[in-house]
Formats: sequence, C-alpha cells, structure tokens
Amino acid sequence: MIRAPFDRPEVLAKLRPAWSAARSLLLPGACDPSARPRVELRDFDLAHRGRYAFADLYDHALHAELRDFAAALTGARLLDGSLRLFRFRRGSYALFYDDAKSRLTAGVEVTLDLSEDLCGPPAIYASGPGQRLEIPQAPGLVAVVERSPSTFRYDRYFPAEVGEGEVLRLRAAFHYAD
Amino acid sequence: MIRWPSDLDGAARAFRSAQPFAHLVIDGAVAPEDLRRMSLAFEEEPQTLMENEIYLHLRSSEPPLSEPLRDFCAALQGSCATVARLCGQPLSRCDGSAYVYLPGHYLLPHSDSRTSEGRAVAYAFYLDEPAAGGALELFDCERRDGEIVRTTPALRIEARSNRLVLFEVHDLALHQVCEVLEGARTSIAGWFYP
Repeated sequence: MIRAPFDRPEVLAKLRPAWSAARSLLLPGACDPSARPRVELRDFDLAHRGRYAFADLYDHALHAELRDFAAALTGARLLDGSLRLFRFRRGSYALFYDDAKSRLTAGVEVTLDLSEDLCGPPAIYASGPGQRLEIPQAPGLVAVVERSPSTFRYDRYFPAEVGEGEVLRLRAAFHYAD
Repeated sequence: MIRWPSDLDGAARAFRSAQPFAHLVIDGAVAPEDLRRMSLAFEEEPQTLMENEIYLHLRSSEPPLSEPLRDFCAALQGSCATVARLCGQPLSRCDGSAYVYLPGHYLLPHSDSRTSEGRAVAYAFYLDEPAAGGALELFDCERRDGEIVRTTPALRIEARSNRLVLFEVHDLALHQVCEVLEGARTSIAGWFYP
C-alpha cells in the first residue's frame, strides 16, 4: 500500500526530524489508491456524530505494513489499534464527538487517502484555539499525526459541489508501547 | 415591531404540543416595510466567514451594527414576557446576530444546550429566502442510557421570508440548517435566557 521510496526505513528515518518538530507529517503520493481494500461498507448515520460508510478491517499484513511504516518514521514502538476504512460522499461528515468515541489518546494515526478523485473537503485535527492541522483531500496522500488527549479530529461536511465523487480514507491507529 | 399571535394561549399550546420537540412558526412576523428596511440593512452589515466542525456561514457581530437589525433585536428583548408566555418558561433577556448562508454553507445537526450559557429558547427570523436548500430541520432522537442512539429527520421548516421560528433548547432538541444550494439565506438568530 505504501509506495516507494516511503517503504524504505532509511528514507523514513531521514524524515524523522521533520516529524519530531511538528508531530505530524503529510506525504503526498506516498500510497497507492489502486491497492485499496475491496470490502463491503456499512452506513453510519447518527446526526450528532456523523454520516458516512465504514468497514473495520482485520488485515494483519496491511496493519503490520502500516505499523512498520509509522514506527520507522516516528522512531517509536507502536502497538496496533484500529484499522478502519471510511467512505465519504455528498452530505457526509464526521464530528469531534464521533472521534471522541473511538479516538487514541496517546499514539499515532496514519491516514491514507485511497480516493480516485480529488473532490472532497479536508479532515481537520484540532487541539485547542489556533492549534489546527488541515489534511487536504488528495489521492495518494498519507498523513501521520500524533494523537494526544487534547487532539480531536473531524471530517468536514461534503457539500453538493462534491457531486458524484467519493472519498476513501483508511485510518490506522497505533498506541505508543512505551 | 413584532406581530405576535393574537391568541397567545393557543400559540403556547401549539408550541408545547409540537413535534419532534416544542417549537412555533410565526409567519408575517414583522410589517412589510420593516422587512424591507431590514433586508436593505443586510447589504451594509459587516459579516465574517465563520467555520468550525459544525458550521460554515457568514456572521455579524452580536448584536448587529446596522440600526434596523438592532431594532429587531431590541424588539425581541422588549418581548421577553410574551415569549416567556408562549414558551412556558421565565425569560429575561435575549441576544442575536445576523447570518448569511451562501451556496455550500450549512449548520450541521447539533443541540444548542450549553449548561454554562443557560440558553432556554432559540429563535430564527428569516429575511431573504434561498432559491434552494437552507431549511431548518428538526430531528427526533431516541436516547438509551444517557446516549443518543437513533436520530431521524422529523420536520423541515423552510426559511421563508418574514418567518419567525421559536424552539426550546435541551439536549435532545437536535436541529440543523440544511446546506444552501442556490441563492442566499439571511436571518437573525439567537437565544432567550432566564
């Protein structure tokens, strides 16, 4: 799923100072959207939390690949958390409260944009006034973000201008082992 | 300035019995000349683009700066006793801002309930109605063990010009402003407090 050269530990180790400085990193073109899992998604619709489709994945090889990637980048020992594929279409969104129900409070979240299209709004991490990280929607983009107790995420509402487009976000959560 | 229902007791009954939660729709809430003055004032009212997880829209200061819009807010303030009678709770003050929703703007489902702020009754008064979208949608909620486990869109109230909507504020009074698809939706909205 991770594209060369980002599948090589020595390349990721060189990016570690940038990670250490920001505790987040965006890597355009670092994953292959055509390798996205072909799974059945189910709808989630609770108005005060979000509206989207998702599937929990139990693909140990994929989880291990993403864990090794995140560990090589961050230099941290990581333990597997959730691995979930989200699909967003016109009218979709996910609010802070939805994230609060399942979020990591100490670890790293890796998001792979597996969409075919460039059509959707960003996902946003916020950790207080003015502390905001916008993850643009771009096929192939990989975002690695440190989660702390004060960090929450939302997926911005997908307005009508999205048309028939859809966005797939694969999110892998890893807990710090130490 | 505000033309409240002549049968306040009947309107209060309608408020209490409304579903999915207590609300009241008052059409023709101001005289046509007042509505025109307020619509024109919107063109001069400074607005800021506001965005967070729930909303994207343009909002004025609180209260608005232009006189006709402030007059409306003052008229609401002077009507606290009337609104209290309609909504069946003691109210002493209100606030309000002017909003503009352009195509693509929205306010996602939420409750206005904030324990620290004490909001009791919400209101929205619509001036210019959008050509498509922008309805106020109320949800029916089911709660189990303190958690909302099901939400169903129950009622759409179109943002018609010169329409005033009052609704109660509590944890289950979930509502949204549907995305505006065409045209502009202008309104004054805020809350009444005990």
